[in-house]
Amino acid sequence: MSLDVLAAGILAGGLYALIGLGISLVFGVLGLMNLAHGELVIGGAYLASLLVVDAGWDPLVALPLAMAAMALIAYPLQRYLLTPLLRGSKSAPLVATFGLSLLAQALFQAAFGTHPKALPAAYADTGLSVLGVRVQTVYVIAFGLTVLLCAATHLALTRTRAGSAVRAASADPDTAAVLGIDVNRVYAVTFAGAAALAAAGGVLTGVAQSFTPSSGLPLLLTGFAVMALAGIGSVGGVLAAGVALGVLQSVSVGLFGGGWRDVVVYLAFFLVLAVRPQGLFRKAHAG
Amino acid sequence: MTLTTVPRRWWPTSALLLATVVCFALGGVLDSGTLDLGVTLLCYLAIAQAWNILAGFGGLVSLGSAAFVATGGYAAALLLVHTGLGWPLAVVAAPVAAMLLSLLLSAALLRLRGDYFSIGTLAVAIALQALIRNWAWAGGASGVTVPADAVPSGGNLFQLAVLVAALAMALTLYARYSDFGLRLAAIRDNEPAAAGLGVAVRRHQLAALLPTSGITGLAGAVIAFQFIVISPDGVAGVAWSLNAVLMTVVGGTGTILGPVLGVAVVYYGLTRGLQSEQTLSLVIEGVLLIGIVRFAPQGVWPLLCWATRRLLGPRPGPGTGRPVTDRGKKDEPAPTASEPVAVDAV
Amino acid sequence: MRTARPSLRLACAAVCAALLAAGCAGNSTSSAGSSSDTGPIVIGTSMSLSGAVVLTSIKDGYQLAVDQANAAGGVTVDGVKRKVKLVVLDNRSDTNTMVQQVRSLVLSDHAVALLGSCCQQNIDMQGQADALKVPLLMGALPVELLPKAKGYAWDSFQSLADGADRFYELAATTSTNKKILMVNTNDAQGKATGELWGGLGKKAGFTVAASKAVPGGTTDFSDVIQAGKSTGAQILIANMTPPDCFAMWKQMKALAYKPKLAIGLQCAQTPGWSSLGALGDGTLVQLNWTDSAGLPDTQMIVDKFAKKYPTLNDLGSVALGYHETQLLLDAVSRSGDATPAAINKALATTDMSSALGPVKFTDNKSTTPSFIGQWENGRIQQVWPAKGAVPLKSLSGLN
Repeated sequence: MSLDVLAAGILAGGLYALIGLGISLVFGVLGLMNLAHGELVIGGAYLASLLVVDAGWDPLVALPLAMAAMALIAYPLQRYLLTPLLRGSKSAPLVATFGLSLLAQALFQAAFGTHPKALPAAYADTGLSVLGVRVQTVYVIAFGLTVLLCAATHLALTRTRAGSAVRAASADPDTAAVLGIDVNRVYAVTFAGAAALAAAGGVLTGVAQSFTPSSGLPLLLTGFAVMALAGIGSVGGVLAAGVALGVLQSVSVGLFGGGWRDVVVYLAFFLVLAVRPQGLFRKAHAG
Repeated sequence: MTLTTVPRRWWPTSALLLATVVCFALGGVLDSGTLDLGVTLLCYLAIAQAWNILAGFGGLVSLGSAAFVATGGYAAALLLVHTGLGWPLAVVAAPVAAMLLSLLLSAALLRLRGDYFSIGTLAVAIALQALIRNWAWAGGASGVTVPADAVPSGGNLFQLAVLVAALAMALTLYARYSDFGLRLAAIRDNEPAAAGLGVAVRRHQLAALLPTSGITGLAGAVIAFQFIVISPDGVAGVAWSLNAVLMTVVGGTGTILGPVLGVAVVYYGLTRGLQSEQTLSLVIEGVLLIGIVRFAPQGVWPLLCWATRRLLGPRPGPGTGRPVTDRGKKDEPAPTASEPVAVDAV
Repeated sequence: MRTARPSLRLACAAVCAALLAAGCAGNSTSSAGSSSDTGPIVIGTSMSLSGAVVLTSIKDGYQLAVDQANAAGGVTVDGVKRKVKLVVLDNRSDTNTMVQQVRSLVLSDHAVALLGSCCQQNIDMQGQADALKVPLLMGALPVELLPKAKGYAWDSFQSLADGADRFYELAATTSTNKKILMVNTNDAQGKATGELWGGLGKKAGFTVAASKAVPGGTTDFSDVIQAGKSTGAQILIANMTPPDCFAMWKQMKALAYKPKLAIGLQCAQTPGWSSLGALGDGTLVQLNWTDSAGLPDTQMIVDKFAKKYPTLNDLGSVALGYHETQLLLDAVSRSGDATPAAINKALATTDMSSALGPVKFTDNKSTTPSFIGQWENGRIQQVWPAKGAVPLKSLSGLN
């Protein structure tokens, strides 16, 4: 396997991590399995396409706006729909997010049609050569942005008051509520933050690849794989898991051919879970 | 919490027997379209009920039903295609294969706690689907064709499906009314406490996982007989796992008749009722699913029971607002004021 | 401790039983349109109209032919004009739903014949047609890919061999080193397509320098591109789903792999290809219809649908759906009694000219013409065969 292929695997891992970060955050803090996460990602791409395709903006300029817009859409969804459900059975919110995913797909179809779309950008199809290794520029940008967003998320969780509230609510919502933390608001903020991260992943996916109303499911599964490898509650673990997933894909394609990629990836994913139920990149009792 | 013996009840078993006999007899009367619909509904019922036992009674929320549907379906189909053995053996092979798979995986799966169990089962299902796609002997991505003349069809297939669904219902009754089910529920509600009281946690969970995988595999065999052509995109598709969850949650998790109602609502009401609406069907299905879990988070069945009880007048005796089940504990998570509460009828 | 009265439980059970019974009764009354009477003839199809694949244009073709037949008073069966009822169900690109829908179309709606969906779904549907003994007329599956089965599935579409021949004829007119990089999806169709195109390439004097199989949903093609670069292949044959081609085209450009000819089978047909912008220019596609080839009904199709479907490929899909339905209605009319068995028999003796030209079935297959088109500025134009074609342009998007 050549270095080009390995480098591409590592860089692709950045995008995987970005998609996995939001899903991991929601799962870790809210205990909510968000089946609509793929649609949050695609939604970001479609929102950006309004600015990029129709108004001619650069996708990277549109990216923060798409993130903000998705966060604004996600906040009330969590606050007024999903949070009330979380108090009941564990599977009810799961079903609600599945319903949201169907609704979002219908919305995308109605608003944007069913044909695949891509976000045009100069760096989408240009490459860089570093030490003789040639890589796709957009993946370098995506990787950099992922590192940045992971760092920002980590800092927000560990260094800010809001972050402490999130961690408190995550560890023990009842006690947090007693301590005067508005758990419902914390949940909604977390979900909105995850949606913003998802939207960023969506914009970059749109630039690097393409998207259709129904491309959310594979992205959701990628997010699950990253989350399982990473374990819950570790931002750095998510980044490492994304890269591990990218490299694993490249290596398995190199060794067994493209057909066995998914078998290798998901078996590895399962084995990791079985051997280290707390995730590959997380100490057993890290906070 | 005290673990007391559950009083045995004769009438749920009798009702199930009666329903089975009646449905079995219907296999000779109904027209072919209704029979086919019946097979589909009964297969979904068996799969949903198996999920219900595991998740609703055992607290193990699986997203891997598809893996066992596929194992059962493929075991039956491959046996028929590659050996000269008859379909009754295929019907036996399907649950055996599914149980072997779950036994193999249980060492890893049962180590996983809570949500990780869900992700682990999802990973198994996806890996299995990818594996079948690459497995030339099993037909690869194109799948295998079951010899249509060698398997039951029409009324006979319906009767087979009735038996499979009845088995699933019987298992649910057992999980609900037996001492075993009581201990399983104790593990679900508070694992350390149950373990402290001397309940063998792993053994009980394995005892729930094995037969439910078997039932799901058995349904897989019936599906293979019905579909004739089975492919990894179909029988190994994530849709089976999602449907099992959707149907049970919509109907009522941890109840006996909830999944029955859930299957009818989700498949007959939504999937089938909206199939000619295209994009609009996605909207309606999405809104309805959200609406159901929002306004009946315990499921439609408990809501119906609650409504019926209200209609028939208030219950006598103290504690009218919140029914307590005969296990001496709350059967469902603590309800909020706005949520109706289940009296798990039957 | 027991707090609920058994009578209440029984009441709940009764409510549920009544609901279920109502549901069952609702279904059993839906039997109608038996083929033996003079009521409408029911033709059913379960297509993917949402989800990963969307076939609205083919559906429009089906509906067009049925509407025209009904406007003319219906289809003449045994001297009696009978209306045709087309039941279209959306299976959301899901195989299980497709199977369940096809079974309900035949068993509950009493459809006497089926129209196809696309691609792998057509192969899955063939099993249902054979099991239910109802004729299924399909396109959108190259005739070589129709498995040998029990004879109820009929495929009238272009052949891979014709497409490959046209492509190599065109390639021979350009100056390349005749080395091919072949990328196929790793399913049975991908494999069959790869072998057939590879074999015909060798016959035409080309060599397959590298051949790669990728699973659907691949986003990182660096090993494929590596293979293309290291072997110096100047001709790219990519047989993949649209999202995969999108990702690969971007990556090829970024990693500076510059083939001289590139054809996107399955993938470059989508009108969404234009959202690749200049990158998509020059990419070749295989077409089953063009407006410049002089096929029957061309003007009618263009007049009715050119506004809704601006690309040649979508118009070709309308033509394909129209063509399939024409064949089926012709067979229904010649069947004598519009029963599935009779229609199936009649299909074997089809001898007519449809929107895709003359049709006759051999071994349940009939081959329709193939053309090669090229993307340029958001449009597809026919570049081969030379009759009706515009001159081939360079693969500017990747160079």
